[in-house]
Amino acid sequence: MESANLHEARRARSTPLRLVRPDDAPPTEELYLSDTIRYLKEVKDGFHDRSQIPHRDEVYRKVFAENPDDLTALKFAKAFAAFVRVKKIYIDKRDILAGFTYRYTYGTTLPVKMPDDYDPLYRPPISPDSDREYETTLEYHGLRPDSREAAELRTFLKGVDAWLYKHWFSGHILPGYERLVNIGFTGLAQMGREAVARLEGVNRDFARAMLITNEAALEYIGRYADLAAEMADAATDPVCRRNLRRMAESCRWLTRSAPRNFYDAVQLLWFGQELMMVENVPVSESLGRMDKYLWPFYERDTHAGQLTYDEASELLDALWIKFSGNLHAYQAVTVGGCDENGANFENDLTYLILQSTRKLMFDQPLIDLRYTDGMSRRLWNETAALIKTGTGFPGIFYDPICIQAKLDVGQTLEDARDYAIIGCVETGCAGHEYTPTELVHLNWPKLFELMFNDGQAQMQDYYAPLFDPKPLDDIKTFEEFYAWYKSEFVQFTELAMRAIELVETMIPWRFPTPYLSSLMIGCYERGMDVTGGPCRYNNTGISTCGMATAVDSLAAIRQVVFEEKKLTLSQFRDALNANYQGYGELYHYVNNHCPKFGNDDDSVDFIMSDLVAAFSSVINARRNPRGGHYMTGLYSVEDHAKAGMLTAATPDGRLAGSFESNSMASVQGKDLQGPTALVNSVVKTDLRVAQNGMVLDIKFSPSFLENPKHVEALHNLVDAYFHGGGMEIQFSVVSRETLLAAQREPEKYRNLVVRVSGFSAYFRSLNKTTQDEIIARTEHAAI
Amino acid sequence: MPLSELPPDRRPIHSPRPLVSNIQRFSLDDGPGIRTTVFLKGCNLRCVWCHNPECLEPGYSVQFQAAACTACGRCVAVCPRGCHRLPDGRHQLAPAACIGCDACARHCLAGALRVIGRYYPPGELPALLGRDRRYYAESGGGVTFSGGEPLLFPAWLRETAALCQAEGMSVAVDTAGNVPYTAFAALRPLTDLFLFDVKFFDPAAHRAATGAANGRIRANLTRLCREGTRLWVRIPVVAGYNADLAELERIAAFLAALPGREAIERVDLLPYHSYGAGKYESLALIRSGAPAVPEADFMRAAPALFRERGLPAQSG
Repeated sequence: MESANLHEARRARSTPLRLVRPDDAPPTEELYLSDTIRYLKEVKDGFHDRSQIPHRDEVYRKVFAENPDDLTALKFAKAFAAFVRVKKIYIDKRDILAGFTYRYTYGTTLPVKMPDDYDPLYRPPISPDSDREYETTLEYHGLRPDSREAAELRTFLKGVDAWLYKHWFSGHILPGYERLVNIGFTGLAQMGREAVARLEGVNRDFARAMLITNEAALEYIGRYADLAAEMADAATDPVCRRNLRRMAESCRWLTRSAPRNFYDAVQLLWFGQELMMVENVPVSESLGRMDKYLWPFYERDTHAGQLTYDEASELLDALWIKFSGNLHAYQAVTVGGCDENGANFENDLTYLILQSTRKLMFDQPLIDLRYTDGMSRRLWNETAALIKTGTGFPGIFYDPICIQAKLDVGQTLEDARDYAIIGCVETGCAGHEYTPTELVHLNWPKLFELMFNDGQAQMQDYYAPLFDPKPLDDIKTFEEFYAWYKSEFVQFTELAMRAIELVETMIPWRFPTPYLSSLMIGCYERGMDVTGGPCRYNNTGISTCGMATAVDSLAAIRQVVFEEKKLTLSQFRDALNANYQGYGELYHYVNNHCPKFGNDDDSVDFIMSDLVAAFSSVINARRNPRGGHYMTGLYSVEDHAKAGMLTAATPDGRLAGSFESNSMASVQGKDLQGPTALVNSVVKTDLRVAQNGMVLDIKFSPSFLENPKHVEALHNLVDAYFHGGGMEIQFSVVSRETLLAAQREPEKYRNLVVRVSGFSAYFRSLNKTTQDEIIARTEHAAI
Repeated sequence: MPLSELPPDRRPIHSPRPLVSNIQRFSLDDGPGIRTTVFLKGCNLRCVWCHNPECLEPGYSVQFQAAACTACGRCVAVCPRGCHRLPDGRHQLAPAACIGCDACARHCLAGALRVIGRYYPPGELPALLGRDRRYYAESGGGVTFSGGEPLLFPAWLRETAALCQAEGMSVAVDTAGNVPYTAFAALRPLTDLFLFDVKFFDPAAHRAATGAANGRIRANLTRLCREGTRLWVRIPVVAGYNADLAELERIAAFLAALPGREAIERVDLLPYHSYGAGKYESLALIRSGAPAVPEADFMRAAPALFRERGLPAQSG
């Protein structure tokens, strides 16, 4: 038997404090994976209980019906409390942390369409319910369906269905977990009681709603304390009994007070996250700088001889197993970076977190590294070892550029230096920033379809009136065409911003999130829901999709129509509407003989930089209704595949229904000059405008990284990219052969984790178009 | 002043204009750091294992990817020299007469054709190679001239290397060494590193595998060492040819006995790989001989022969 016994043996042997290690310690040192963790990893997928899937929504509907006259936030809070009172809880008899979770349905709290049943090991199909969002927004604002606002909202929301836009709220947040682990739910509830006593009117009701969720959380943790104690009493194995006793004692403590030690803090952090999943759609609830806010607990315990490096490792592993229950949930953990004075920040937890991901190879949590010029060789070695696993972790973010981007939207230097990653690649100030980062993506390539067809989409029944309709063949120069594209592109962006302003102002009153609000600093203080603008930073993200596909399309039009005059714009439209059927020569020509972004070719790279500048200036020019900034995102999650499925053929030679380019990368397979040329193309664009984040994915063959010299070259490539203006970079390291095999025989590759865009996921859980997109990316090697 | 008294890099030399087959960026195995390698066409050896057969001939080559060809016939129509034929709807290539007009590649819709060979005036290259300057700076890399045999073009190479050096880019030259020493003398002042291939010690075996004896190669290496030229010796290890402990031991003994051998900074034993094999077919070339990949165990053991003689060897 193991665990506690083993721990005692280890504790006796090891010095309690192992902060200093040789800087160049090889990352291949044997990683500690306890028998308990091996066991939990084995059984973790059996925790799911599909009967629970509709359960949450049933409880919510019942409570809403019973409290028709309450403020919506109070209805949500009461429903939250009612559900966690009856929600199934579960502890595996050998576990060392209490809690488990997976996705429930959320049709009650969001305008989304979700099935009542699905396999929790795969992603449930989930899509926006545009009709409900439209009706709710009109009802809230008292707008008539024939008003201009309603027409724009309809164009926008129908555009979401047609994938001209992507639009999403809820999730995508860095809850104030640092404050939570420091004061506990007891501390939050105390703040709540004071707020209720102090505030008046609707603010008092908002505070009451939050307090209800905090009291429910305490009660919920109490249920776990009872269950753990009961199981401890029944346990026959002494190690299990000891672990369950520790769990029961800690849970009991947390119902009365704030965490005392590392174990309490980790346990409470998990409860915080588990309860987030009850209220918010399980997408991108991010953990922030875990190596920073857990560090004081770790430091204190290790100094006191109460915790070893290996015990902390086991606890983090157990926590990772909890995260892994939320398949595809974009739960981002940030490590490294700088401290409040700008000095390099890393510690044992930084390494342990990278190691947990390397050992366990789950798709969750996402791991992001804040890269600084002062980071240690050891941290790079840990990073490189993780890159080599092929899971696509970590996403690597360059501190100076990310911090500058935050300063540019008015954050204080101290807050900017404390940024962490939200979901994929968005950056935020944990606990202080409510930025729905995924409120809008504009699908750049779809605009060609609309412009060529007078606003009529070709792959679905969607009509979006153009702002500046033109007869195609009246356009005489490329400059004229380009100006037209930019004008539509800017105005469709502005339309989306006007439409979401109607949505945003409705959210606190129709889709509030009182539990999340209780975690965010400013909500109790001001008696407001987090969505209403009470935080220090209240921004909104507007992002992109299919950028290089659009850029290459413009370059193809310039060459074929205006320079070489091989055909007219209307002939080009006919070819696109025919999906190049009967236009084989044109198809091959635009694919093989027109310049492509990603090859260090100024003639096309500067189209990208110009469009990004135009996009970001229209975004930055406006303030959102909560007094915050709009911020530009140059990333596309998985939308370049999903949007591509509903976008007609494009002038660059992409066929209808096929994926678009991924974030800032070239069109898949079109970067033929190697990674330095690709990076040069990318940094011609001023990436500091990407206040909502960016992605550059580069794929290498696994054999490439077997050579240590190549790993060093990768390090140099990262440095050169960052020093040249880069913000984020990530590496896919899985061979084409492996991916094709995994597509053929998914069951044999159940655990294959790959990088998609700003996140990684189990390959089997991705739709076919996304899988094809990953396979089609250029695989770089050394020649 | 008599020519012989001019410093070597100032003496006039004459050589033909080289064609560049490829400019390979993010090149990691042709010297230190991240480099850009410029491959020149034309070689005076015919190593049976050559993995850059497109660089054997100094003239133009045409590369044809059969899998991409749609048999549209445009290449046949536009080629002024009759290099392309399409009997029975199957493309056939006879590239000997190619004049490098590039018409076939420009008209090939499927991108199945590539004309290999482009002349760059020396003044054009530094700007192109300088595009990756930031990577050279981060990694201690630079520019490598390879081939083919770049030292067959000493005048062009000297001028180009001088311009690169003036732009602050470090220059390496990858050579098989079978050239007059004047070519080395012309490049030495402009070159930070020579990558010098050694294939055999035994002259007869060298002639059999490469078409030429190695007297000049050994003499050049000896002189470079004596003059303290920074060198990386590269030994392609090919099963069926020199993947033989006795032969490698002879090479090791030769290197170890060189006066000034401390100039040899590395000895890299490079196992033959078959990645270049597909190129022969696409270039309509037939390869002689049957090179094979050496055993992994052999590659692991081989560096010891060099290390025990104090040579910094590794398998790569």
